[in-house]
Amino acid sequence: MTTTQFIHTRKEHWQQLDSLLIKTERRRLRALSRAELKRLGQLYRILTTDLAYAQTNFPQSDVVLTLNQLASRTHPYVYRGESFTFAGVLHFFRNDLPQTFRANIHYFALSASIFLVAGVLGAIAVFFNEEAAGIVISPAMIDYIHRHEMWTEHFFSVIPSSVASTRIFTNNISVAFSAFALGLTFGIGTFIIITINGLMLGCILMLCARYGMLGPLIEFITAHGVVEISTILIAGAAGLMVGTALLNPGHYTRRDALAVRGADAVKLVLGVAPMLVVIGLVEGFISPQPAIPAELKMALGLFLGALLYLHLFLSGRNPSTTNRVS
Amino acid sequence: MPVTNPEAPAFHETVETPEQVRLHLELAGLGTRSIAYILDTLLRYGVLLAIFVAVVLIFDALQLHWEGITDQFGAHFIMIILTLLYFFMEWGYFATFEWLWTGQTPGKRVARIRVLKDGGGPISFLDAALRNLVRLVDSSGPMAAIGMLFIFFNRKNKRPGDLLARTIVVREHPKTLTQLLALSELPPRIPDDPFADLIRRISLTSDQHDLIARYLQRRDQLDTATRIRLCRQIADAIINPVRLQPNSAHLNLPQEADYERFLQSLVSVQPGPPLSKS
Repeated sequence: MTTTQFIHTRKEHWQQLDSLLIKTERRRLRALSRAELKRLGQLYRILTTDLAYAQTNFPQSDVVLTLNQLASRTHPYVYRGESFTFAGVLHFFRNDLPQTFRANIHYFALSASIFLVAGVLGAIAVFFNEEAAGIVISPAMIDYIHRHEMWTEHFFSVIPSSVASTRIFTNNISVAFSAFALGLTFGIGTFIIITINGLMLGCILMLCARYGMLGPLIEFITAHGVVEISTILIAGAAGLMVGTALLNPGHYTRRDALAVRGADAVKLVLGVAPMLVVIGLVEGFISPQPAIPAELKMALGLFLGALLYLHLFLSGRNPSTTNRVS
Repeated sequence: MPVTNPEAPAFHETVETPEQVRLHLELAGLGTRSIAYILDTLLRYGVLLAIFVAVVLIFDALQLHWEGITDQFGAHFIMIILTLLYFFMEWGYFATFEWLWTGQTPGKRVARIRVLKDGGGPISFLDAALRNLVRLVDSSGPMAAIGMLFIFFNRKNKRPGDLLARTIVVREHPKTLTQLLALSELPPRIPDDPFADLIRRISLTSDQHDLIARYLQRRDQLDTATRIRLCRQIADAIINPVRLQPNSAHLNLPQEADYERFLQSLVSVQPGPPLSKS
C-alpha cells in the first residue's frame, strides 16, 4: 500500500476525530454528546492502530508525523484523570488534608518550633532594647503603641470591614503561597518568612506589655490569632517539605523527592487557603468590633482553634475512606 | 509541513500509550514558552489595568474619593472585586486556566503549547496548582531568569515547577492534518494521454509512487534548477527500464519538457499496487 492509498482509505476517521477534537478544544469535553464522547474514544483507538501501521510501513513519511500529532492532541482528552467534583473537594478536605497533615506532622513541628524560637527571641530582644522592635515592626505601629493606642482602631475606622477582610485574607493567602513556593530556595525563604512572623508577634507582644497595651492587643488577636498563625505554620511546613526534599532527599533521587513531597505539600497549602478566607472574615468583622466582649472573642478563637486541630488530628482515620485515590 | 525527525533524541519525549503505540511529543522550547508567558502577563496586567483605570475614571466622574469612602454606588463592592481580581491574576490565573483548559492558558493557546503530565496524560488541578504556585520563585519578574535557565539547560525543558509537578510542555501543530490531506490529493486524470501506452507498461512500486506523489506536491516550492534535475532523475529511473524491454521501439517516449506531465499522468492512472488487507 502506498502512503497516498493509506491516507485515502483512512482519512475519514482522522477527519472525524479532528473535528471532534477541535470542538473539544474550543469548549471542553462537556460540549460533546454521549455518542460523540464514545466516538472520540473509538476514533482515538483507530488512530493509534493507524499510527502503529504507519510507523512500521512508512517510518519516514509525513503521515507518521501528522498522525502522531493528532494522537498526542487527543491523548490528554481520552485519558483524563478524576474530574473535579463537589464530592472530590469534600473528600479532599475531610480525608486527604488531615491525612497529609498527620503524615507530615514533623514538618509542622519544625515550622512551629522555628516560629516559637523566633517569637521568644523577638520578645527577649525588645525586653532588653526597645529599639530592636523597629527591625520588624513599622514605625507608625510603634508610634501608636507609644501613644497607648491600638493601631487597629485607626485602620478599621478608615476601611470598612468587608474591604479589610478581603485585603487581610488575600494577603495571608499570598504569604502562605509564598512560604510554600520559597521552599524551592532550599527552604531558606520559608525559614525567613516563618522567622519574621515569629519575631513580629514576639516583639509586638513584648512592646505592648511594656506600654500596658497587652489587654487591648490580646482582645484584638484572640478571635482569629490561633487559626491564622496555625495555618501560616502549616503553609510553612509545606515549604519546609519542599526545601528538605532538596537538602535531604533520603532514599529518593533529589528529583523524585521533590516531586513526591511537592505533591503532598501542595495539598497542605491549598487546604489552608479556604481557612484563611474564613479567618480573614473573623479578623475583619469580629476582632475589631468593640461591641463584642473580649470573653466572647476569646471563646470563639479557642473554639475555632480546637475545631481546626481536632479536624487535622482526628478526621479521615476511617480506613474505608483512605483507599480512594486522590 | 515540518520536516523533523521524530526519532531525534533531543527535545522530544517518547510516550507509550496504553495501546502500546509510541507517541513522540515535541517539547516546547524557551522561545515559545517565553512568548506564551509574555502574552499571558500582558493579558493579566492589561485586564487589571483596564478595569482599574475604568473604575478610577468613573469615580472621578462621580467626584468620589478612595479614602474614607462610604458605600455609595457599591464602592466597597468594587474595592473587594478589585482586590480579589488582583489576587486572582497574581496567584490563580495560570492554575485556573491550565486546569479548565486541559493544560493551556490563553497565551499557551496562541503559542500552540500545552502542559501535560510526564506520561503524556492531562494534568490535574493539583498539578496545575503545584507548577504555578512556585512561579514566585521561577518565573515572576526577575526570577524569570531562573526559570529560563532551567528550561534552557534541562534535558526536558523543565523549569522547577515542572520538576515539582512532573509535567512537560509540548508543542502542537493542529493544522497538519488538513495539510496532509491537501497534499495527498492526486492530480486529475489527463484525457487522451499521449503516453498511455507507456504508462500501461509501467508497474510502480509503492516507494516509487510515494516519491512521485511527494515530488508533485512540492514542486512549486523548489527552485527551477532543482525542480528540473529532480524531475529528470525520477522520470529517467522509471522510463529507462521500459526502454530495455522488447517491443518498446514504437512507444511514444516523453521528451524532457513533458516529464512533469508524464509523472502526473502516471500517478493519477496508477494509484499504486493493490491494497493489502490491513
